[in-house]
Amino acid sequence: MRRPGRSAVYLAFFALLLLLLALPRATPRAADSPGSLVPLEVRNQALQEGSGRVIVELRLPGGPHAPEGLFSAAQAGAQQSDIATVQRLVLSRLAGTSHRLLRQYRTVALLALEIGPDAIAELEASSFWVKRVIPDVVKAPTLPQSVPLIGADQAWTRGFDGTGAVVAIIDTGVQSSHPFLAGKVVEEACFSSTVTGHSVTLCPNGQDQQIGTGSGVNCPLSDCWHGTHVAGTAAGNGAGAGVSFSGVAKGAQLMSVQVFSKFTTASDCGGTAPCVLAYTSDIIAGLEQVYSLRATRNFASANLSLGGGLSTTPCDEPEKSIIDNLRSVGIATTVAAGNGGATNALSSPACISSAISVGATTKSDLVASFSNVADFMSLFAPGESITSSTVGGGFAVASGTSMAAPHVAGAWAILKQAASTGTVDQILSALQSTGLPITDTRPGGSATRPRIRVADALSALTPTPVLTVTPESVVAGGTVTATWSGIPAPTPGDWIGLYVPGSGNTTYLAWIRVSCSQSPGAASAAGSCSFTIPSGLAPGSYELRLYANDTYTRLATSATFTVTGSAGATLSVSPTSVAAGGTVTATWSGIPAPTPGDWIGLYAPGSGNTAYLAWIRVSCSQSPAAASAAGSCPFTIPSGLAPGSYELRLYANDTYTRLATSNPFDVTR
Amino acid sequence: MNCVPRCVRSALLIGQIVCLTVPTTTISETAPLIAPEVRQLVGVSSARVIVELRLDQSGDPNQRPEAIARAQDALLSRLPYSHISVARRYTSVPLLALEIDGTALAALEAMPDLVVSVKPDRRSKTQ
Repeated sequence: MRRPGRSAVYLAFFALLLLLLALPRATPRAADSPGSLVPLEVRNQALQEGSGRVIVELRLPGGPHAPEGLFSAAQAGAQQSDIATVQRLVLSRLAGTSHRLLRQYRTVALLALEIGPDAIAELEASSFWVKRVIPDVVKAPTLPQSVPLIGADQAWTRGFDGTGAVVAIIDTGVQSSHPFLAGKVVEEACFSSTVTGHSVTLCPNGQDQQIGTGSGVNCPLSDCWHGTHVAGTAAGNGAGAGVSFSGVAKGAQLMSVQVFSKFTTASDCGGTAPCVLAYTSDIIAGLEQVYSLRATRNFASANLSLGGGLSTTPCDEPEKSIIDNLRSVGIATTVAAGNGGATNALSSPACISSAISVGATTKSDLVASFSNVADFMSLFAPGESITSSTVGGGFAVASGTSMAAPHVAGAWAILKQAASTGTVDQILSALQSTGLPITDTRPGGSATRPRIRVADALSALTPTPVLTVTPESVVAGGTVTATWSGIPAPTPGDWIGLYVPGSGNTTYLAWIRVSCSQSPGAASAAGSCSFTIPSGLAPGSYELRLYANDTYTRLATSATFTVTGSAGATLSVSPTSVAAGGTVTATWSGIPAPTPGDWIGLYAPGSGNTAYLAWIRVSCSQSPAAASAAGSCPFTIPSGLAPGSYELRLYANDTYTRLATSNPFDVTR
Repeated sequence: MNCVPRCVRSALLIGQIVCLTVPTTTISETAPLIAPEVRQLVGVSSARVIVELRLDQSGDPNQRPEAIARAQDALLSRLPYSHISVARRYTSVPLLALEIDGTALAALEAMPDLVVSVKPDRRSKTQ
């Protein structure tokens, strides 16, 4: 491909350039009203702080910058040369002004600068080669923002991250080796057609169809990052990729179906060729492949981040019958609403009534400027500046309803995990009824549709687990009754722990499984158990917590309850004076949970629990015998004990959990 | 009042005639819907289209894949062989993706018993 009129444009450009260089600096031309290039916020920042960071977008002599992937190597080199030339020219204009070059780019017509007021004036006067000046704003990666925005992280903490569900990505193929997607792609297929004079298959085997490992790999053209990005948003997991964020259903698996073909003519591409487009017939084949695997894979959703055309009413396109089939077996087809910016129309196949059509919102919950919207659209989801995986192993930011749809596809996996028998109607209803209403306030817009809130939809779909404890006060060593209900996916490993309120999940003080012992028994969505409070537990406020399946995934927390000291346990000694080698009588009562290991020790007052001087069990000897909540024993004072004040202490079950302390008594010679 | 037995007999006779002339099939055979875009395309050269086939919806759902295959075979057997090529067959939906020319379109249009619609095999782009 040749860029038209290149030589003529160059001549004109450089002639004008010489003329402009000869002009006095910082003299705005008539067309350049002050402020037309540099935004007010940058001006204000430069005035207040002395400088501001900006991105300067440059005008190229050969026409607007075009993606390099559309060029031959020579054409890409020519564009890079243009970029370097204009960068040099702009920087030479700025010489002598307060500015600092932050970044110079090779393949895009941009410069990152820090500029002072005089440099702003110079840029204002340089509109011939400066297209615009944009604040270099700090943008946090948005997947980490969009996932919490829709409440997916809250669903994770409740134990639902899409584990066990599969999301099918009908797109440009997925780089399954990407660390964000490692181990996730469990099914692959390719449907891509060669049509003489129009398109060439992109299936790795060169045929119009390929099934199995490797067939769903990302296609090899510049647009083929798309499927990997979409897959990451739906189900990427940051744990293996060294990033702190994940996709919506980070526990879900993926099926990659590559349905795009390489189109080779400019007329087919509507512009520069080659490009990738997908035949409806191939999309239907891809969806049918998902349908054919419904018995072997637990598909939650199939995502179509693609489309074309516009329809102001629900449409009856050929994809409808297979979307209906999928819906009839509980698989949702999530479809991008399209990027035409329409306020009353959707692209096809999003316009199909049985599809789950998804428009895009910003992180501020406004309708994205590019999003198609209609009053018959199903849902909104974040779709602006979404960071996700891209081919080559890295991450990239992209915007589009393509990015919104996989948020919903991932949400479906989470909800399907929680409500495995939920129909598409039920899950859609939960998402719509709990979603945040977003009204399209763009010119001509009026539709109000719900932006998904996954955690709320989860609550609507599944009973919330509840754990109660009675009574509200108990003596240490006593028992409370723990009663639970609403465990959505009960397992024998579900367990109840005793905790100090506010303490970490791993700091349990005692625990039992829902079998009412520490041995696993039957799973039980609801039930009750007697829970023994450790006899040595310090008085205070405590709570019980219900956890899922031998993990620290908390399902529910009880109200707090009070543990009192072992008020019932008392210990007295008589007489209050005895000669060393003599005997006193130790009398106890009120041991709440007596055991044969309960014991009495002789101590110096104030000494530590382990610093006993003599001891016996409640059997009145050092041998264990019957447990006894109350009783008395003769206690022999060692003959060599130094004269002084001493005390006896009652301890629980061969531990240093003190139940009671006696009155002091004197030991004489 | 004398008219009553004769009127009843006449009504029964008319009803019998009507019943005998109504086709016994339960499928309504309206003319196939041909998308205008398809007519345009085949007027110039061949075109990829998606043909929706007419199925008896009252059939056993478990036998649907077989019914779809039979309908596909019936359609293909009645199309002029040299004017079509099959792009894709489907097993779970009553569709066929074909490449056709004007002659094949005319043949499709003449099969209201088998064809519901002929629509262009559109191309989607990433969004």
